[in-house]
Amino acid sequence: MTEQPSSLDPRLQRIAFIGPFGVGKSTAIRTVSDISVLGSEAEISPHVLHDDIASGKHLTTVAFEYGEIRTSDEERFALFGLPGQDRFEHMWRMLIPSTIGVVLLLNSQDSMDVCETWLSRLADYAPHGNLVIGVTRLTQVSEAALQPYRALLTQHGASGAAFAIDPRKTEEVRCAVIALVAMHAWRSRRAVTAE
Amino acid sequence: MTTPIAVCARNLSVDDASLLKSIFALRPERWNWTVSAEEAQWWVVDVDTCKERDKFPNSACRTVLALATDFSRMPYPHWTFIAKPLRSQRVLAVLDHHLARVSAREHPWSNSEVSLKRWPDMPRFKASPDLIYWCNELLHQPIAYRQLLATVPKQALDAVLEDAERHQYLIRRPETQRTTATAIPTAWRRLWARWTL
Repeated sequence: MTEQPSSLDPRLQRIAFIGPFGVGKSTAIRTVSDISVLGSEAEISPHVLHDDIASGKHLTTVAFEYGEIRTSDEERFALFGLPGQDRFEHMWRMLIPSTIGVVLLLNSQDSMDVCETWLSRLADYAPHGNLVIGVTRLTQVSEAALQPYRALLTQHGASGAAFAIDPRKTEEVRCAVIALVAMHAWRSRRAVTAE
Repeated sequence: MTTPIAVCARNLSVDDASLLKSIFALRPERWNWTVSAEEAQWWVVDVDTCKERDKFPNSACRTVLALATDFSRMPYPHWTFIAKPLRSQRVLAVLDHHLARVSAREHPWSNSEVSLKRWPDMPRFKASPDLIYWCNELLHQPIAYRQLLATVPKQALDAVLEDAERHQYLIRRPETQRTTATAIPTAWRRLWARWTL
């Protein structure tokens, strides 16, 4: 049975950052974290990922990264950056069900099939449905650029948001976090009302 | 804090000017009484003592309250006639009418409830945490525009709603009495307070 730490400690709310390799998960967490991000990065094998070495990225997350937003001495938001490779799926199984929401970062240069794949994978682990797709590396932010992502969200029956996000910009990553918190607040209120 | 409305009342008698200022002050709006006709959005003109119509170019793009003893003395049909001697009820009625009209013209949804079919691209609006919170609420229930105005800055709210209308994800309907904006949970306020964008 999956552990549910957030239900044990209501003062700690978890948010997961997921997405393909090199999309900016680590950067996004560092951008908003109040603490030095704890990570478990390893050097990328040059035999496997020539393009990524060429792009200047030499490290990748192999377990998870951890940052925090501290709203008071007691209340915290824990930010988990989870690796996307299939072999780390057990990390998803452990962490995502206990989160209040997920930020799925996607590179706008990738095809929509990538988005489709990630949404399908995520559906197994995020029953709460609180999701923000952060589309990175858009050359021009426009409604048209985000429309395909919104359409896929609808196809998957997800009520999440699609934002254009630069993981290096604090305000933009905060928008995603706050949107998730708002989604969670609404669902919590509805659950209480239903009881 | 609302922007003051600039009013020019140059050729009024001292008594009429004093009376008008006291009546205007009964309204919640802020009024800036100025001698510059060019700067003013509203003019108050005593038609009886005004000899030259040429003194009022561009009056068509302003709200003009014309004081006169007789309606037949009105120089322009688009000026609003107020009979002299002044009576406070009449002046207040005219103010109500003009302010409601200005409000409706500026924001077609001012007397509406609004909701959203999907999330706006929030980072583009440099939205405050409160506005993000309310956008999420608007996905689930319609809320009266004027209730939203009590919680988020007008300029930011209008920017989101204008975008929503332009891209056809705004739902607007006449305001009813039954919608209420739920207060932001206290638990999240600390995050809000830390992250006022």
